[in-house]
Amino acid sequence: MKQRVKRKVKSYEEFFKEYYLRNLNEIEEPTRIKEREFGFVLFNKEGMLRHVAFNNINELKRFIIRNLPKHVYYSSAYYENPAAKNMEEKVWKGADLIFDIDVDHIDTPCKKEHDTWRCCECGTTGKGMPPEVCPNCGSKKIEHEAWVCETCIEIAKEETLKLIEILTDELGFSDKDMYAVFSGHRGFHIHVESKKILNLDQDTRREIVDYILGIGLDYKILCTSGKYSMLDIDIRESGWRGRIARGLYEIILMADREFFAKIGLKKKEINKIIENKERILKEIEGEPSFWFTLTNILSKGSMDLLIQHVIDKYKCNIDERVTIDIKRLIRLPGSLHGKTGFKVLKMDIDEVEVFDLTKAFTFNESEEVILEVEKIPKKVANFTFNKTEGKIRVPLPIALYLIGNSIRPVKLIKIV
Amino acid sequence: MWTNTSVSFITSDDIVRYPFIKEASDYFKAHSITIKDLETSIGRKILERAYKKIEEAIKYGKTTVDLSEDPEIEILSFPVALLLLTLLGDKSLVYKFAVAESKRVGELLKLESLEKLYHIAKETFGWKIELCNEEINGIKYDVKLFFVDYIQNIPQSSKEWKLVNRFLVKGMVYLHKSELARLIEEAVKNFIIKKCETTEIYVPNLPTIVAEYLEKLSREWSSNREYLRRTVKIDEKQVKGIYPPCIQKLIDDLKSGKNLPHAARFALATFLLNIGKSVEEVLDLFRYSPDFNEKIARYQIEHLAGLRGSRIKYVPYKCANMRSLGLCVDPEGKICGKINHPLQYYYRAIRRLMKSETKGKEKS
Repeated sequence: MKQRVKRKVKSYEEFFKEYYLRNLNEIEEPTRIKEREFGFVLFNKEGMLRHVAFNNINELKRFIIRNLPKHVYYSSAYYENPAAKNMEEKVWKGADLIFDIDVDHIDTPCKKEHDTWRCCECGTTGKGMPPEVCPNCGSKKIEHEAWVCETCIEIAKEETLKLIEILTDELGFSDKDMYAVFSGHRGFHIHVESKKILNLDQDTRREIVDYILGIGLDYKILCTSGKYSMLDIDIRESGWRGRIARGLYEIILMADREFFAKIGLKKKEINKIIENKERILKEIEGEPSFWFTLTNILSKGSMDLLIQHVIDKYKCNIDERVTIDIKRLIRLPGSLHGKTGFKVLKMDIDEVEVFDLTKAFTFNESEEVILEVEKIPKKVANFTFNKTEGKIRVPLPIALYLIGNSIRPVKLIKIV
Repeated sequence: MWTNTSVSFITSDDIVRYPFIKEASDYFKAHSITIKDLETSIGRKILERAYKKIEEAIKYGKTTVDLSEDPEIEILSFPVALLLLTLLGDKSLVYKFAVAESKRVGELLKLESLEKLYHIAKETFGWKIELCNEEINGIKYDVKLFFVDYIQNIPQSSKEWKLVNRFLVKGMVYLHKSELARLIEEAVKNFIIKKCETTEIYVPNLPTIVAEYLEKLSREWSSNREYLRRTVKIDEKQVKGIYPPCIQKLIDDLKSGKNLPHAARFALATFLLNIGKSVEEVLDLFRYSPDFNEKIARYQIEHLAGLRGSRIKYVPYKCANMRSLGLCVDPEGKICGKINHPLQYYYRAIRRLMKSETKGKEKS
């Protein structure tokens, strides 16, 4: 058993120091480290320190110990001269293929409970995802406080598993080509490191993104055949054809009048679907799936609407900018996320399913501290607070998260 | 001289018709000629034929194969044509030639056997490809191609070719023979462009004959370009719908006093500069901007025009980037049709206009 050490009150920054001093070996060495560019955000210094390069992992570790950075990034790209200041001199030699899944881009039900925003101009506040412009004054300067909870992590995991399935079953990558990284806050990155994709340019990466997001998908091309362009997809198929078939099946199974109306189906069509529900389902369940009744009921336009809805619902929510960018800096596994104090954690593809936030905690949950807070959500990460204002007693990792991520002052009073 | 080809069904004719294939480059290696050799009488013939090939591309948009001469001249004229293009270093001419040559190749490929196409794809381009002869959902497929090879050689951006609309299992895209031929055609185009862009040649003493041909080529190409430039002078005020909808919206937004975000300003300014507007004209438009500061705006526009700093003239975003930045107003292509660059819309509109003008004149 670990011995409990009596601690003095420390600053947020000093906890980072403690982590790095004790866990330097957790810093993961990127493949071909010499050819990577590194970027650092330091405490008490604005902007990012870029164009840093290291000959080996020890140089990198030494740099981290000396500078105790708030955030650590490295390039997905490989360069001839990674430390050069401009791209021309850097000489791009290829890049890993990165996918980013972040709850920031997904409208989850829990955001209404823990996320808040505030207009910097007029002070209007609200809950959930921040609006693009302030509904009160129209300003675009909006401060956003985003928190992670267990629901967020489950949703991010679900999306990530969906992505992994597409990458393996449809795009043919093997588990060995890929690994997953917990981003340190609300998402996961999937890194594909394989010769096969190293030299893909932005356009070809975009083609992959479009595949995953279903952008440009035309079901008349992909899902129909014959003279009369009949639907010929099967619920047992893989790929988009199967996804669309299963999506349609689920929608018919729910047979929700309101939902159909919201999509834009006509009243007559909705009535007929509900009347013929069992028959339609039976046809779809058949081997192969059969779409006769459904196609007969729906006009072409309504079918378009229904299938577009299925595509939007079943696509995997990746952040397209990250995948397309061939010069991106991405968080280094083993480093800490500067706003959360959570560890950026590398894992095998099959470990995503069993991931939980405590695995990314850098300090022991049994260590507790007293904080003074102004206003916090009722629950963050895996912890429910008994009150949201004043003095609270919380585990150390949760305390660090509150200090790092809150836009309101959080004061560390005492380490228990 | 032909016996050393690796596969029996690649014939000597194939090497003449497909001078990009691996067997042809093996042949070039075996008959390595240097720039100095171009001064010999046979070298001059090769040079002349190479020039003609590029000229065909400029004039007719398609190259030919001339079998009236020694096939050796015809074969070697291909790498020499690439040499001339590389020495000249004009990207748009390289592109023009690559399209013309691949078009010629494409027509022949359509008639080839599946086995030969498969052989070229695998041996010349190193594609991961499998013959399959499978019937799926009532459709017969001939080959499966690794999606990474596929997406790098998609011809144009059309819905039918998008990966998302293809039958894809375990990384392999299912294809018909004719589609494979089309992909190879595109690969030929990419091959030529890449070859000319990445080959570094340093010739301290260029033979006079080569220099002469380069000059001739340069003249031919610039007179062709001048013709295009002259024909594109049209009074835009008279014509509606000449700008793509995304650019038109930015202009309208700006004129209505909206404050455009940075990316939108970049898109608009680079577009206008690229269709030949002057810095002053672009600046005048930006006067509508609520936070207009002449000094800063002028500096930025001059920078984009390549008059300052890096001296690089910036190219406007292509459609895909406009879409990612949320600046595209017609992602479905209902107004724009099949284009992948806003400039394409503009040039098409101009071309349409010119056609209707000449027709109008003929009638009157």
